[in-house]
Amino acid sequence: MTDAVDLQALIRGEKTAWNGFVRRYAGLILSAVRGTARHGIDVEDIVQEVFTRLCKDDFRLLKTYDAARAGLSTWLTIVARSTARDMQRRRQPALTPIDAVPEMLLAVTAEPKEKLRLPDGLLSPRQKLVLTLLYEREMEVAEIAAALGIDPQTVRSTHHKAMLKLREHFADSDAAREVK
Amino acid sequence: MDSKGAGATDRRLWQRWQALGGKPRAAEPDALSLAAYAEGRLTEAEAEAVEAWLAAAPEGLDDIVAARAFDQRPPRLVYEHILSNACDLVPGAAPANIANLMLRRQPPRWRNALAWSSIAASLVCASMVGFSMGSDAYANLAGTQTADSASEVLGTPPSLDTLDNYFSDDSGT
Repeated sequence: MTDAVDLQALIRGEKTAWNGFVRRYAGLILSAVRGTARHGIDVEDIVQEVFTRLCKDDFRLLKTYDAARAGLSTWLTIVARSTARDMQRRRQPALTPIDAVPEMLLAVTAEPKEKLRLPDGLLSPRQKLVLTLLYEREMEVAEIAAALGIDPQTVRSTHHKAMLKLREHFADSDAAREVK
Repeated sequence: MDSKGAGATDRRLWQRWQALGGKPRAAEPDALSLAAYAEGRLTEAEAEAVEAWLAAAPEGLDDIVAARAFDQRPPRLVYEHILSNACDLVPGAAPANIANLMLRRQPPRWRNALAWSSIAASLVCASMVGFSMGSDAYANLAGTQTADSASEVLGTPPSLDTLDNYFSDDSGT
C-alpha cells in the first residue's frame, strides 16, 4: 500500500479527503490494534478512538505528521497501538503484576541496601535496552536483533560490553565497602 | 551467553543494578520519532534517546516491531458501520458532483421492472417446458410397463387366411 494521500486537504478538514482517508486506513488501524485489545475493550471502540484523536482539536495530531521523517502507515500503526495502550491503562486498575517486581524487592531477607550512588551513563541506552530485553522480557538474541534492526552479533557484543562495565563497577564498590 | 540469555551470574548482576535504581527515566518519544526509528531514519543521537525510553518501557518495542511488520500483513476488512462512524467524525456533506455521480450510477426504475419481468417470464417458460417434458416421459414410461403384453399394443396378429386374401387381392396392391 502506498502512502499517497492528500494530507493538505485532510488537514483543511475536507470531508471527501477524510472519508477517503478513513476508508483507506481503517483496515490498517484495525490490524494494528487487534493484538493489543484486552480488558474487555472492544476493538471497534479503539479504532473509533484513534480516528477521534487524529481529527480532534482541528486535526492537531495529524498536523504533527511529517512525511519526510516516516511513512504514514508506520506512523499510524504507532499512533493506533499507543492509543490502544492508553485506553487500557485508563480502564485497568493501577496494579503492578508480581512478575514485574524485581526479585530482590520481594525477598523476605532483603540484602543490605546499596549505599553507592549510581553513576550516570555507566551503561549506554542501547546497553540498557539489550539487558532489559534479555533479562526482563526473556527475549532471544535473534528476536532482539530483529526488533532493533541490528545484527545478532551486535546484540552479543553490546551485552558483553555492558556486563564488563557492571562487573567492574560492582567489583570496585564491593572492594570499597570491604576497606571500610 | 547462550541463545536464551546470559548466565545466572549476569542476570543477578543486572538485577542488582536494577535494584539500585538503574531503570532509566526518559521522556516518551512522540509517535513520529518512534515511526522514524522503526524505519531506521533517525540519527545516532536521536535513536539513542528512543532506546533510552525503550529500556524503561520495553512494551513500546512491540509497537515498533508491529510497524515494521506492516508490509507483510494485508489490511483487515472493516465493517461498514465502523467506517461510517469514523467518517461521521468530520462534519460536512459529500460534494455535489460526487452525489450526482452516485445518482447516475443507479439504474432507472423501468429497467429494474423490465429485468424482473424477464426473470419471471423465464421462470414460467422453464416450468411449462419442464411440465411438458415430464408428461411425455411419463407416457413413454407407461408404454414400457405394458410392453410384455405386446398383443394388446399391436393388436391380434392376422391369421394365415387373412394374409392369403391380402396377397391374392386383384387390386394388386
